Amino acid sequence: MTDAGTTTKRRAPEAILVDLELCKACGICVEFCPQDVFDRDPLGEPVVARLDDCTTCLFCERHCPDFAIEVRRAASAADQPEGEG
Amino acid sequence: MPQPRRLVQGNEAVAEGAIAAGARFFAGYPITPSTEIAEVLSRRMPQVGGHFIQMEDEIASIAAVIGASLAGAKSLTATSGPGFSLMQESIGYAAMAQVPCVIIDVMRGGPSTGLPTEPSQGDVMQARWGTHGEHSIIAFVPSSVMECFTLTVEAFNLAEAYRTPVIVLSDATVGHMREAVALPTPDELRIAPRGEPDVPPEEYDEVMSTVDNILPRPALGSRYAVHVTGLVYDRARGGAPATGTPAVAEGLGRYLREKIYHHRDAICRVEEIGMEDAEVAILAYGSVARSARAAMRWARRQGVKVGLVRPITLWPFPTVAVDHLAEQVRTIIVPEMNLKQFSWEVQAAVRGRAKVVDHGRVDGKLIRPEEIQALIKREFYYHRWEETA
Amino acid sequence: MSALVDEELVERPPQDVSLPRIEPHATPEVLSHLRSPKTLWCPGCSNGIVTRALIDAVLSLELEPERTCVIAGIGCAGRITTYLKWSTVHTAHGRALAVATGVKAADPGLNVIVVMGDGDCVAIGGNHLIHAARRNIDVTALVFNNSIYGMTGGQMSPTTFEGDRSTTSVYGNVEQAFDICELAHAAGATYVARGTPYGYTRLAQLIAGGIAHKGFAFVEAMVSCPTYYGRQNGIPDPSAMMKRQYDRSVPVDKFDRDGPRLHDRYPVGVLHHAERSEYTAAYAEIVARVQGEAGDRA
Repeated sequence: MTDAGTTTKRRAPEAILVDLELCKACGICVEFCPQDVFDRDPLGEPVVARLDDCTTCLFCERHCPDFAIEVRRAASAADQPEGEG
Repeated sequence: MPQPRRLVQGNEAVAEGAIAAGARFFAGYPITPSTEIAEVLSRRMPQVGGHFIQMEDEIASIAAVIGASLAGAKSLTATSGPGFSLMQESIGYAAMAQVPCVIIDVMRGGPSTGLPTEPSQGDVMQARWGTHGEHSIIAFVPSSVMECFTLTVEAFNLAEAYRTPVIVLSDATVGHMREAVALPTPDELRIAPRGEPDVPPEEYDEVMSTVDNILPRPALGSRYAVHVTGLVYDRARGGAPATGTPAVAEGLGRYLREKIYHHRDAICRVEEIGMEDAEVAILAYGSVARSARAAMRWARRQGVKVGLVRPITLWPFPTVAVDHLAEQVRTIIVPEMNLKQFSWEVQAAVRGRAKVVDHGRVDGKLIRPEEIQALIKREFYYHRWEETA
Repeated sequence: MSALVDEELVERPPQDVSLPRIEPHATPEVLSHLRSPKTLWCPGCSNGIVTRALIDAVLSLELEPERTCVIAGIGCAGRITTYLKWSTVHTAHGRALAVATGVKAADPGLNVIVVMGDGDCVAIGGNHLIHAARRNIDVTALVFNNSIYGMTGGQMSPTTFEGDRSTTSVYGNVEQAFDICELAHAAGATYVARGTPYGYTRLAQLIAGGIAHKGFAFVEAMVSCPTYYGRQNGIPDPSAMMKRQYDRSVPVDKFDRDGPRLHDRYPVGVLHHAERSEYTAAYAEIVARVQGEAGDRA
């Protein structure tokens, strides 16, 4: 896992949307979230449990193999640095 | 206004026919006795703003031809038996995915390495069924240098009209012979353009060809998004793979067949000489038809009623012509430089209504008129034959 | 070092390449470039991640979708043709680079991207790979290397490592794996790069660099097949597999290229970069010269 060094905490997004029609419950988003935002439901699908801990790193959105996750940025997303990884 | 009369080699005529038809892409691999086609086109393609590439093998060659055709260029390759064998998978791909292209097979002795510099007609069945799966094909068989030119032009026209690969079955004799011809110029020829569908891009995915209205596929890189695959696909959904829908698979398979067979009367060409009152016919194609014509003339000079039926397209099989033949004559002689490949089909179509006499040769030597004359003599047992040829 | 003798071949150190900037797009934008986002790829198969990286690369380069086509072979990777909205050609197995050669030669202005699995690229397609690289034709080969034949149920591939199990090496593979980046380089590819789905933005950048490069670009993505490679080789969990692909990667400037080849260490980044005569440009010069000479004689 890359170490981004010291970062200021980025703002939490407005929402993390998971399209369960596309999700195949592979677990990548849950396993790699650096802030442990997700839990897994009995089917293995991700559940957004701790949205406020999310730093909008966008790892889950980019590494979902099924295009099932959208991290809807907060209103002033423009002044956020790019996510790592 | 035709070009001046000059000695032209059969293979050279094929190359010039392709250029006249608007072919602007050739990919091939050298193989005797077809190599001259590649050599001529390597020189001619830059002259006409086209592209020549010598690929690493025949498999790559037919694949590149398919790619260039999808990108909008009329494309061809040229080979002989061993290369034709290598190309079969992708010929089937072109049939399945409906990619217009022309494959020249200058037949030589086979199977395998066989007789590289000698003629045969051994690829007749392979042209029909060489690739796996149920499909239909169009195959022309020239028997003169001029036909090497004109049938190559026609091959491109039919490839465009029916969105199919078309095979031209030449052979080492026809390919390497030279005859004095005045090759036509493009303005004297009928040349079918590629065309574009007349629906806007947004509607293209749902519009389907019918056997009476075969729509051209737009080129890659045009304003249409095009999806091409060798899997069974749904023509009503932009060609998306549909391997899980039996009805779509059946519909596609039958369409691909009917696309050509529905038009067999327009596609099949047969030349008939001396058939008005013939009692016996010779059915011969390619270089053998030249010997057959000589034998027929020899018989006619002696007052014996023999005619010649010369298929110019081998596939689709000329069912209508053979049907009429079976009703008219008592014997059909089918000489071929193979062992009964086409005569079996003739026999099936004749259904016992006439006698079918086959005559085969696989030694790499052209069937001579005398061999056919001997077969004719047997059919007119009581005729007093003069010994002069 | 390439075996080609060519005075215009200038091998540049990989760090010399300035790679395009990647702007990862949000999911709705990515979805708008897919005909159908419901893929047949297994849960945890990283093919979808590389597909997204390809979309991000193409969008970041601002390529015209109409002038971009993806040509893919047979296998799980090849199914990308079903999902992308841009023009796609799903070729016969192993023939994608040969088809792409025809496409590019007939219309050199097209952006041609060739997607292949490891089997499609270096088993049945090996001959076409070395010749496309030799010609330095301006297409971008993107290889999804999962070291297995997934679509047909888990057989070994030329990139399966010695000792690995597969359905056709049930006692352990006795063959060695290709280093397909070195193969492409030796054959003449002028841009060679490798990345992992874990390193998403970097992978998208390497792909974009390949597309932007004028010449034969070869990009290897080390993808994971948890269902067949993973289950047969003790690493069935998708996250663990993806992490392992990443942990085995070493940035190229830190990689010991003179050391012995190891299956669990490989360099990532731009591995080779050179400038050399590109095939379609060289042929166009011939055409111009021939037609110019004809004009002079007319």
